[in-house]
Amino acid sequence: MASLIAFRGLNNAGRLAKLLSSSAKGKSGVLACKRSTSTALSYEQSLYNVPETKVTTLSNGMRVASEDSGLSTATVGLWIDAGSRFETEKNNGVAHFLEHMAFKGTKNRSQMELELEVENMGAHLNAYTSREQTVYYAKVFSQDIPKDIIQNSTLGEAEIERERGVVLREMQEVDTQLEEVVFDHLHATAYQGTPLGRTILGPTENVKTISRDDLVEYISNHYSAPRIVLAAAGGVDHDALVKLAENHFSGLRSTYETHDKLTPCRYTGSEIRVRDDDMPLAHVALAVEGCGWTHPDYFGLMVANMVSGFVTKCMLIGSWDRSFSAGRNISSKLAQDMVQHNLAHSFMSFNTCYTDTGLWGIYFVSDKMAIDNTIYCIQKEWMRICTSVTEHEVARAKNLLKTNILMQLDGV
Amino acid sequence: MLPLWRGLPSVSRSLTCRTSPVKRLFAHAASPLNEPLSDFQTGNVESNLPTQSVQVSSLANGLKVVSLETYSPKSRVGLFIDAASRHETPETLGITHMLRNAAFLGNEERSGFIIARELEHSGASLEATCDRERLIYSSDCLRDNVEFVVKNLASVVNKPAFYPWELEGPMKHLKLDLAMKDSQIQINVVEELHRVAFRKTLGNSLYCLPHRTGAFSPDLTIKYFQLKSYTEANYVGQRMALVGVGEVINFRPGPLVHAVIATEGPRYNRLIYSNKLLGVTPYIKWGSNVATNRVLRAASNSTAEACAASAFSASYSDSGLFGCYVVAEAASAPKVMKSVVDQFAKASKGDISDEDVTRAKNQMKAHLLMNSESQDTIFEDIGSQILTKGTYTSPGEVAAVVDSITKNDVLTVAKRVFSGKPTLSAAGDVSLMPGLDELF
Repeated sequence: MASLIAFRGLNNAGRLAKLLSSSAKGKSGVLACKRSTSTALSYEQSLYNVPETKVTTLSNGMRVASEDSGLSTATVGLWIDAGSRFETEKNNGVAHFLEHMAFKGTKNRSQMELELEVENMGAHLNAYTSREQTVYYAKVFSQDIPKDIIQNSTLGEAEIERERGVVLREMQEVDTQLEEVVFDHLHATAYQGTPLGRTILGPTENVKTISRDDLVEYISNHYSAPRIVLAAAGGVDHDALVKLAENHFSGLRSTYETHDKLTPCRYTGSEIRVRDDDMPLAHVALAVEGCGWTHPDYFGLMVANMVSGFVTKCMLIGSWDRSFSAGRNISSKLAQDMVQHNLAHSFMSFNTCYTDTGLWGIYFVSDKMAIDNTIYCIQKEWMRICTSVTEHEVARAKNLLKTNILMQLDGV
Repeated sequence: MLPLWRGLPSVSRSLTCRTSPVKRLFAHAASPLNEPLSDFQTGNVESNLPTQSVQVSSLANGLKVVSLETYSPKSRVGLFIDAASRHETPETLGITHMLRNAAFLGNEERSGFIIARELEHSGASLEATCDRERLIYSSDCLRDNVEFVVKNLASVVNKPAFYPWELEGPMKHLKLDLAMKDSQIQINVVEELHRVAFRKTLGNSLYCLPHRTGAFSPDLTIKYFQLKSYTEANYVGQRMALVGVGEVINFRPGPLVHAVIATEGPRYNRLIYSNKLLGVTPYIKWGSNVATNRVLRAASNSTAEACAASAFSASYSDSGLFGCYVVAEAASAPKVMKSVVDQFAKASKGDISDEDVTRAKNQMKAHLLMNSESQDTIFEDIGSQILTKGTYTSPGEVAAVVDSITKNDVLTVAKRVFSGKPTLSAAGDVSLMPGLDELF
């Protein structure tokens, strides 16, 4: 017998063991060693067993948030309320360009010194830019929490010139990823004429002309203390983190200026089609205006996503593709339609949220001859969710959403 | 039908609205998500729950039950079966891939419909994955549902049926998987490397190759499955002793060439930090990547064109492959490959500084401990270790072992590994790709 069961959250080892061994030999097995008694924790109780999130606001308005889970490693980073939404037509692409400049050396150390120091201790430096956020973070051993992150970036002219080429190559790369292209088009038409309609990377001509002054201006306009959160999880001492923040970020602007104000982005229903009959598959995104992050409907819309969805490892949304072995046994009505009528190859329902608005919809990949029928099935399913979704389906969707959220929170 | 009063509110209704809470527009009445909940209570459960360690129990039939309590609301549970591509014989070649795709079909106890619907309703996921040494059926579920999920997983292995009418779906997936494999050059390069390095056993493909897709009747599949999971209680696969020497170079359209060059490396869990000596994946986004990655530094110095190089390793219970993965422009391939092989030679002659050793140790410890933050990694680690050696060593304990490694240990291993017999696998525009005889 060479198989084995590994599980955690076990509170009834004996019965489970019997269950597993019974059909193998027709007789229940006996545990070779008894498990030491541990508190049998229910799901409800376990939900309270998370470290407290401590939040401190510094005198300049910057917030420090941390969760100490007592591990020997930690993730710490700066979440900045600044992304491509705060750009104008002229400087579109600056926020993302800054992401490329972040780890290129500071006033105190050159790029090579910084890289050696980080790599010698096995740490990781990472960053990403979205339409509303710029994030710089590090994964480190708890004792080496970094001190000199983005404040003193030199933004050297030579590095700027080199990164221009890197960003342009990145744009070429993004252009080959059809999912990215479709979502950029979706934003361009849904929020046409507003900052949310622009891309994060910016147009080529901007990338070619962005200057050091543009970068400095964006930082001084948008990297202000009240718009930054220093967040950390893992092995973190909150008080020590607050002290670090006070020492290193006290120089940030603490006032509220006109450019800190968020301009509302008008949602317009419309469509963009880029037709190329030579391509084997069609990539389509269909959306309606959803809600912002903090809107009370947020979770309701997430549950609605899950009605047609499935638990997946990679994203917090309902998605399906032809490789799911459940085939036509799957519960999602939409997935059943796709299997039965041989429609889309995959779909994923999404709920993309911003501060005050959002896009709720579905993205699918299908054969060009199946687009019409797929869209018909999607619309039919959306109307069914609006009018006659069953209690049973909602209960399933809620459970799937819970598992999915917990999967996302796994790790630091 | 829409209720009419929504369009035409009566006077009496607007009066009641003023005094009682709004019955419709629930979102309007709910509190925004950025405000603290008024009825939220914390500290209901005793805090400071004791840290648990891994518990192992053996059943009378030999099955091992292993668990780790982390008090998480989400549980991950799965079956690890010591039957995978390396154990395949000429008759069963490719069957693991087939079994993986046919994982949650109906069995004699439960229909596929019941398995899928019940598990989905409880919010659980179902996955079947395989690598060269094991087949894993696993599920993520809420912690109260563990027993229920295990019941379903047990039925999958206890009473397999593989009804002919259900096997059609998995067959289609096989073809889809093969098409996906063909479109990804990296997978092909590594598959081919295993094929020439090990020939049989570990050299068997993870994929059910096209000429084998129709080879499995339901009867054969059931027989194989029962054989592997039950009757051969002490089943031991053919152990690998020798790594074959060879090269495989395939032309594929495109401007780039992908190549892996490897020697027999340390087996599972033994000194696997040695790939950190050569340099691995980027540590810094948009960084230069050459600060500590010596193979990439050497490769970039050899050519003005863009190239990538990173240490490569694959560890198994009794053997492993260790080397370097390189991507280069077709024209610069000879220079880049030569510079990478030079680094092998230098390392085998002891060109490793104290700083290199300290860094490799730090990177290894960071890798171990950062990975163990996630339930998924711990789950797989526990399962594989128990399956391979019967006992479990926690990431913390492995980190302590890494700490105790000296420079001499490193030099001994480096000399052995880097001077071993090389195997080369390359694909892409290989018109100028040097062969092994030219490189060594």
